[in-house]
Parts: sequence; C-alpha cells; structure tokens
Amino acid sequence: MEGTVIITGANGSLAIPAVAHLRRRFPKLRTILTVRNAAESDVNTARLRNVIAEVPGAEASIYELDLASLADVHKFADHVIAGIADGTYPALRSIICNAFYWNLATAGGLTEDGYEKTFQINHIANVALVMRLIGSFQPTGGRITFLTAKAHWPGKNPLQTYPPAIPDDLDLLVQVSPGSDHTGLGFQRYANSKLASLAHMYALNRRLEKVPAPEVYLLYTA
Amino acid sequence: MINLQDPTLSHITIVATEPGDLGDSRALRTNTPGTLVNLQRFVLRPLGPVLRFLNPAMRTSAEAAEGVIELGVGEAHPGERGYFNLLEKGESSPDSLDKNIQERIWSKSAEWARITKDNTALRDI
Repeated sequence: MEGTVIITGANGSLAIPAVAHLRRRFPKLRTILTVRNAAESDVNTARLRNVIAEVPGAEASIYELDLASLADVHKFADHVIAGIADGTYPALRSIICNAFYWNLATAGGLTEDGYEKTFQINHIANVALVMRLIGSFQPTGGRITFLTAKAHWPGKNPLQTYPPAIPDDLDLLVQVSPGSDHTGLGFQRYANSKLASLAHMYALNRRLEKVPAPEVYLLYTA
Repeated sequence: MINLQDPTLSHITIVATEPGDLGDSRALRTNTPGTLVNLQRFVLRPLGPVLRFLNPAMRTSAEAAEGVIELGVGEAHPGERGYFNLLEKGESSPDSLDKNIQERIWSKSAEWARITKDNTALRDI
C-alpha cells in the first residue's frame, strides 16, 4: 500500500501508538505528522520523534500546524499540494483528523479567526484541511477519518451537563456561549463540534458518491 | 471542452470512528478540572481492567490506535463510509442523521473554513 498519510495532532496519546502501528504494518506509507508545537522542548513531540526513530518505516515529516489559525491550515494545504506536484510527497492515501481540543477548566475564547476555539479546532479547521486536499488523492482514491465520540449524542456521556444541539442560528456555534459553568459549557462546545463534524461527513459522502466514476467519462471521449 | 470533475473523488470514503473510552487519554488531564485529573489518576488508570467488565468500550489508547490506523488507511472496510465504533459499523445520533441539519452545516462550514469553488476540487460546495 503506498501514498501519503496525514495525521493531525500526531503527538497525542492515541496518535503516538497509531504512528508506531502504521510504521510497522504499512512501512511504505509516507507520513506527514502535524503537531501544534514542533520544538525540541515539547515533550509530546519528543515522544513522537522517538517512535519514528525506534520503529522503522517510510519517511515521516513532522510539520508544525496550529489548527486555531485558518491561515496556518490553508498554508499547510498549499504546502502539501505543492509537495505532491513536485514529487516530494506521493499523492494522498489518507487523512486522519485526530487533533482534538476542549476546555473544561477555564472561560471559553475565540481564535484569531474570530471563532470559538473548540469548534474551530475540532470542526472548522478539519473542513478547511479536507476540502483543500480532497483533490490530492491517489488515482485509486483513499480515506478520510474523523475521530468522534458518544458525546455527540445527548445523554450518552456522563460528563454532559448541557446536551449538544445544532441551533437554528448557526452563528451561535462559533460564539462563546455565555455562562460560568466552564466544565458544562466546555463539554457542550466539544460535543457540538463532534455533532457538526458528523453532519458534515454525511453531506460530504453524499456528494462524493455522486461524482461520476471514471468509466462514465470514457463514453464522452468516444 | 467541458471541465470535468476529478473522478477520483468518488473513490474517497469519509468515515468517523469512536475510538472508545480511553482511560489513559491525555485529553482527560489537559484543560480539565482537578476532579477529572484525579479521576484518571486514581480510578480510570489503576482500575482499567475492572472497569472494562462494566463498559466494553473502555480501552487503552494503544488498543484503539491499531483500529484507527487499519480503518484510517482503508485496510479495514475498504470502500465503506459512515460511522464506526472503532472497527464495527455503527449508528450516530438522530440529529447527525438529519438531512436538513447536514445540509445547513455543510453550507455554513464552507463559509467558516473559507472554502470556495476556487480552492477545492469538489464542485458541489
């Protein structure tokens, strides 16, 4: 199996063993591993570097990407597109949107793009990444994976105080909902971001399924 | 000459997977109140094996990681789309399956993410 695999939040506690498994099982897959902080001093990125060093596999690049900045995400997409064009990276085999953010401890805030941070990192940034790169896959296609949670379903997570829901006014999703219950509201923002991500997935799948398969185009060239 | 859409697109499958209740996740001690940090340290991690009898979705990150990769690279369930509980096809909430909600989120998300006809290969945005 060949191609490039992009994994965001690659120094996370799920991603690090995932990278190890990927290198062992699919040693031909090139990886681009994004982390918020690629400095030597970041202990989690150091752990990621260790896994890459200890488990033999294809070339792995660590790329510093802050999903809280849409400019950063678009710049990363530009980088990948250019890298595929000039042969630095093979075309994409998969994107694993693993990066995660929540804030159950302190008051919510906005990113530099003006969106509530949880919702941007867990959803909006993924939309930007996926939609920019959807044309960069192997001719045989590929897979895009979102990490999700029971939390998107009202009542299914014991940490829930306020259930997730998509409001009529969608702008509310990107604002910091008022209130002092940081844990309850923070969890709701997280749950909403997962719910939005799922809704988006179904809409995207629906559209991808409608794109005519290569066989159809042959008729037009006859 | 008609500008045809990239047919490869129909072979890209989007999936979402629940990795499970990861008792050892770093998420439980990042931006969380002290109670959650302590819950992880004193209950979830030491009692992991016992808790699994009560909650089959409870697993370690390392255990979930393999499934995420197998699904993520398309080795597991090739060609399939949609919602998974790690590697098992599953169902997501009624709201997530509501086509109206899906379409509203779809349109608004392109706007939020600054996706236009000019920067994505998918025509129907």
